[in-house]
Amino acid sequence: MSTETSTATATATTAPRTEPAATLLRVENLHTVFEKDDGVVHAVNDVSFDVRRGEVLAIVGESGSGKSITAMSLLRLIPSPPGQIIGGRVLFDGQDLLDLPDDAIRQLRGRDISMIFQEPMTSLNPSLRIGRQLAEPLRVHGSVPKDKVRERCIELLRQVRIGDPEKRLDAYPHELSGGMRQRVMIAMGLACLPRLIIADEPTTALDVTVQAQILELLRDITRASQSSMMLITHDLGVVARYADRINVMYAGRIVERGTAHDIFHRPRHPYTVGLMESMPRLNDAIGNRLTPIPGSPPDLSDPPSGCPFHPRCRFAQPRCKQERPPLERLDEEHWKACWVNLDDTH
Amino acid sequence: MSLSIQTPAAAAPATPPRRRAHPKTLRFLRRLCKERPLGALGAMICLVLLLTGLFADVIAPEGFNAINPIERLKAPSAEHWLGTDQLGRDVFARIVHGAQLSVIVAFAATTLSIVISALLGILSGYFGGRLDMIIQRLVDGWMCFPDLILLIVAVAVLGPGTWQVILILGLLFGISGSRIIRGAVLSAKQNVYVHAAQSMGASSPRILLKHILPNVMAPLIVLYTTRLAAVILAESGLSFLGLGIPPPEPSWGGMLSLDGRSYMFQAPWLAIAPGIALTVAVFGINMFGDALRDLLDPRMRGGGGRYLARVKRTIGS
Amino acid sequence: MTHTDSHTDVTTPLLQVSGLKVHFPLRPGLFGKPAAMVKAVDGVDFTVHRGETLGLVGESGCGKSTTGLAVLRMTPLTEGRIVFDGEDISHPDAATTKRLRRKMQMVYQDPFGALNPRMRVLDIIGEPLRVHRLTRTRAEYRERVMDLLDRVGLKAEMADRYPHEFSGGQRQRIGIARALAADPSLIICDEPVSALDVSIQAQVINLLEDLQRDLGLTYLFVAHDLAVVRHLCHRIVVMYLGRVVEVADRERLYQAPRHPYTQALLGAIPIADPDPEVQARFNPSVDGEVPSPIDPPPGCPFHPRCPHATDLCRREAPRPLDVEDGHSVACHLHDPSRAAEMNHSEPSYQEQARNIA
Repeated sequence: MSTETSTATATATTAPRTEPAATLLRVENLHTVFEKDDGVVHAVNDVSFDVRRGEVLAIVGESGSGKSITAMSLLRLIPSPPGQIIGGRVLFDGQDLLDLPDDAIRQLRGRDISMIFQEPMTSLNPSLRIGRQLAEPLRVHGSVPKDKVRERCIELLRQVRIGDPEKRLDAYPHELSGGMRQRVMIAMGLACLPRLIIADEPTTALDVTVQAQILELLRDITRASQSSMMLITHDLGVVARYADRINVMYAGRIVERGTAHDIFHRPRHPYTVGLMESMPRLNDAIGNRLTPIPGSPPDLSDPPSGCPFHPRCRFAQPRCKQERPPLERLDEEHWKACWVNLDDTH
Repeated sequence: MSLSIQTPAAAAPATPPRRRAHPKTLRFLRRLCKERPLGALGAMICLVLLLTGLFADVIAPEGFNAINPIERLKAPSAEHWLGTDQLGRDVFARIVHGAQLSVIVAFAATTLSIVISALLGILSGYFGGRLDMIIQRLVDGWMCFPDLILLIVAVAVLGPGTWQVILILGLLFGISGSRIIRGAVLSAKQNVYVHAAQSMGASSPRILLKHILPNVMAPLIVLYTTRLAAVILAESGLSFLGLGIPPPEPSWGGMLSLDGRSYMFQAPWLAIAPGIALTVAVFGINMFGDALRDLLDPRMRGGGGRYLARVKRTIGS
Repeated sequence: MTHTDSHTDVTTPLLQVSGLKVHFPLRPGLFGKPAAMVKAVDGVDFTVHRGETLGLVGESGCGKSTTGLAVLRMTPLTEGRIVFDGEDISHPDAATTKRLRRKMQMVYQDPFGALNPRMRVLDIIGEPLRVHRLTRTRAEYRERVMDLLDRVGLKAEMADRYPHEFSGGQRQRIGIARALAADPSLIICDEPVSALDVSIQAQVINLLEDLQRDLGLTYLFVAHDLAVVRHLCHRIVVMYLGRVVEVADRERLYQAPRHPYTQALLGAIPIADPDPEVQARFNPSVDGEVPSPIDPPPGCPFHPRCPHATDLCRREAPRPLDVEDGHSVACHLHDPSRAAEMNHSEPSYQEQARNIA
């Protein structure tokens, strides 16, 4: 693994390094595997990206693409066994999170980096009042004096636009609607003013009108606090609206990276092109036929040789079967992992 | 960093059916030995018990009732491995034939009880509504009485004897087991494919046979093994109280109580031998049953999903 | 009730639902009377014409799935009338039910749960054939299943495999083949693509379109994804809290939605295009969430979230009214006879709240 054996314990928060000022989190060659009955699954394979200060970075992919595993690997939340991070570095403020002792990473979770999950129903303890659960991160990290905790909780609920926050503190999770619960989860995530929020499908379980409320709220809050957000989702509509930059994942690898404009208007990887063509949109012509991507995603315990997308790719060439294309820079922000040079006409 | 080897899959697909039964059985045996060594031991004990019962006349050809007054209360020796009782009968031969009796009673009563459980459970769980209500209240009523009281009353009415014991134990365990089967049926009914079968107009017998019963098989098998041990114990208990199988039939429970207790100090082997036989048999069947339950339950395989949920709960802080 | 000659008449709609109500007891009370009723469907009317796809859309709890189940006659009606192929099936007898079970089929959301893992694909797809005794010999049965496999784009040799050997999209094809087996006239699709990934979703959407074109199928398409519905459905019924709020063909519904809820729903969908001009159409104008169908608000069910709500809306539920031919809206705003009352009313809660804030 990493060669960095720095004094990571004590200086969890203050470690200005030689990082470019804009980068908050840098992931290098992350590799996470799962041991299964029938072999090793390379769920995340050689993934590198960075999150800049104040931006919303999206990771999009279909189920099994490794997007959630990537997020969980960053905070070392991979269930082990059967999972294992077998390589790479996750540099946050210049220190490698994969090298931190357990205590230090626990300290960091929720304080510097917090995570918001998909299911608001199971993420809250049904037998504890909202106030108690909201105060938990504040108590754990001791970031607010004890007598100020309740005040801060009310402030947090107000921030996520929950009406009548004094009363809501004494409510139990089942007394709140799904959207409200997700707001509480966001409030918990925000409690310690994290610098990075990882939102893993934060609205998938919610109705579309509620989804809009929650996502607008999340974006407004991250903007106001100048923190960064990693948005993990399969919903291209959500990505188009909220992301500054986008990583497209397929079969455990990043296949294309670029600004929202790059990805939606100038996609250069056949998979991204395929996604755009197969998706019904509200603004396309009524009655036009969708162009699906043929086949299904590969079995990651037995991935295809060469480019993982080549069996489904209509542009595939003999080379794609033998050699895996590296992620290469096209221009300032735009990267792709493909041997074929696509232009706007495909 | 190295990979650990023995962990089951993160998200193993639920019980993939295989067409050829043979490799499936082999695979199952391998899993049994690897994941549940105690269960494998239990399986071996069960096998020995079964073989002993089947071949009792070969193993101990002199029979269980060969009275020999000269050889009374002899200690274990080369000739009488487990000694003799107060009538000079060979204790080993009686244990062996007792195994036969136990096997007959256990399998007959357990089979009866499983049939009753399956019938009641499926009727109640699948058809539901008023029928369910009536059956469940009757089961409630039945379960209000302590088992022993029911047994004693039943024996008083029917009189002692092997078939009476089978009937009584079968009924007793059958009714209480129906609850478990009902639960399994209720959860099988939740499957979308059951709804699909109903919506295409499939008849109830067809749905039960094709879609419900296969889901109930695992709990039925498990119920069968756990009940087997319980029936052996219950039969011994009844015989110990003199309500079970009447002498001279060599029931283990009867041997413990009649001969064992009277001669406990002169001839302790009279109590120790059937006691150990009983303990080992029940232990073996229970271990095997536990292992079966765990191995057949897809929820016991892997733990990725549950783990993930727990992680998600805890890291909010 | 004359079934025999009814389906020769192509001009009658295939399905007519009027005044449909489905109420469930929440839990039985102590003395037989239910403690509370869930008004899952509370007065729904719509018509499905032969050969069209009618979309039933709305957010969770709007009653769209229950409506589908009621049409399928898998859930009892509390009130109302369902006429299928000219025959009243509100209270069908055993023979009618048996016939219905053949003429209407369902495609499910969950491609994993909808197929019995212990059955071969051959027997899953062939189950309706067996149930209704539609084939006489083993060979005929197999041949029919092979035809169906081919129809949905699967290979013949897949017939002897088990569901777990297939991907989600393939399983959904198997489910569709099963629905086609008995040669139904109406297929109820309950969120058939919402569990699938985008790239697979398009395959299934195209398949459903092809089948409709080739076999002249009629779909009742229950879904929450308005982009998919816009693509597949000819006409759309928008539901909210057990009622129909708007019915229109897709061009009119998506270009000129009339009901404030439909407008809000369409405005809240993020469009997959980062272009600022496109994003400007994004307008999540409603607050709050769908109330409980156990205790729905009085009057118009949408009034607590509606930016235009007035006293009239709080008091009285609007009736569906035709604003154009084939476009009906249940909203007082679009009722000319109520214009006076709407204009002279108090400002809504929402506006009051906004003024205070």
